[in-house]
Amino acid sequence: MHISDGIVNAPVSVAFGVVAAAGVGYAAARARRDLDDRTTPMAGLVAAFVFAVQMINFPVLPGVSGHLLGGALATLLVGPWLGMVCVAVVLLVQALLFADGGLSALGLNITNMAVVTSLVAAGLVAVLVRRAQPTRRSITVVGFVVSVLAVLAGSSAFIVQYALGGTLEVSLTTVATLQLGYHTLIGIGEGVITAVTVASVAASRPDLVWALRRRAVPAAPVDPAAHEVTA
Amino acid sequence: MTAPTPGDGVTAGASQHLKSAAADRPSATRPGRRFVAVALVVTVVLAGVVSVFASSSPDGLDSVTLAGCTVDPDGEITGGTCIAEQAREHGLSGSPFAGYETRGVSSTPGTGISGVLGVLVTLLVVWGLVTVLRRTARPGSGRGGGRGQDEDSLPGAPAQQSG
Repeated sequence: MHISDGIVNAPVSVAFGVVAAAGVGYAAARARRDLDDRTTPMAGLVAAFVFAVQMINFPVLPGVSGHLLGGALATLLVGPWLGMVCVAVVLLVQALLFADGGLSALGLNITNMAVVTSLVAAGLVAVLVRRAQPTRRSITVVGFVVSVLAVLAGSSAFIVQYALGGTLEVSLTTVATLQLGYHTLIGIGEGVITAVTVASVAASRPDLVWALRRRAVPAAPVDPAAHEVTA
Repeated sequence: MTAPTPGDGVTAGASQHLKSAAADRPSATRPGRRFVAVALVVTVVLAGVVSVFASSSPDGLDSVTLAGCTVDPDGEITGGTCIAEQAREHGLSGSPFAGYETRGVSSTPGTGISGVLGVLVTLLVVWGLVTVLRRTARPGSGRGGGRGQDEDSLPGAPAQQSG
């Protein structure tokens, strides 16, 4: 879902460069709070995994493919702030080392694939957690649903950017219809990948899944006591 | 695992959960060597081997930008009107790994090589960044302090002196 240079005009690209820098800068500052022995190595693994899976385009229609964006996956595993930083680094490496995604479009791409997807995923997890705490089993469904919606949100951001800074030679209705149509299918693919990945991590180490750790928040004061009893 | 019931049951269920987790794994914090090894092997195989079999069709957004144009088998626009006509060539398209290929190597191993390189670079950049962020978080305390202290306390640190 990488935008090339020239698709969105310079002022809008610059504006979204500022949005991306502010978003990722804020995320990095907030991520400090989440960094511990558990999340520090996970961040590197998650970013590397997202890079690898983004390379693997899967067919969604004849002549149309899609790939993982990764914001939802990263958020479920390491939280939205660290997740946003991870996906932003992936996009930076792709643009600088592999000429994938434009340079002036980097802000647009980071906004769509890192900032929007992570925030939407975190918001959805917050809403879902209020209703029922995800369990090792339900995290599969949560992962799928959150991914589909995060992909749709990220792809909608491109529609906004095209409306603001595109030539509009192709009508906005056409662009919006195709973009959302294709990304519904791509979102389903992303949902499956996220669900399988998060379920695999949860099966071996549920404590490494951020979305499952949220359970411990209300119970946090109990933690040291419970630990002492067993120790 | 039992479903937590309202009221007292929530606390009981939660502490039970914590107890069993602690009993299963004495060091429940750090991902173990085996976890890290499996994750890295899966990642490298995906980037280095599976990536070669990826679909070469344009992705969703590229397909949107190509709508209205006719394209030859190499992906070059041959006619019509579409958004992609506005696209400029990437400023670094001449770089040795541009397009996930490897200069001087045929495309099948070339994609795998650039995939593994990308994994390593991404891993190192994030690891470096996170290490710096973590180091700068402690002395500054202003943002990181407060709630996080309990979780962060190192073994042996006299954090909880009750008395």
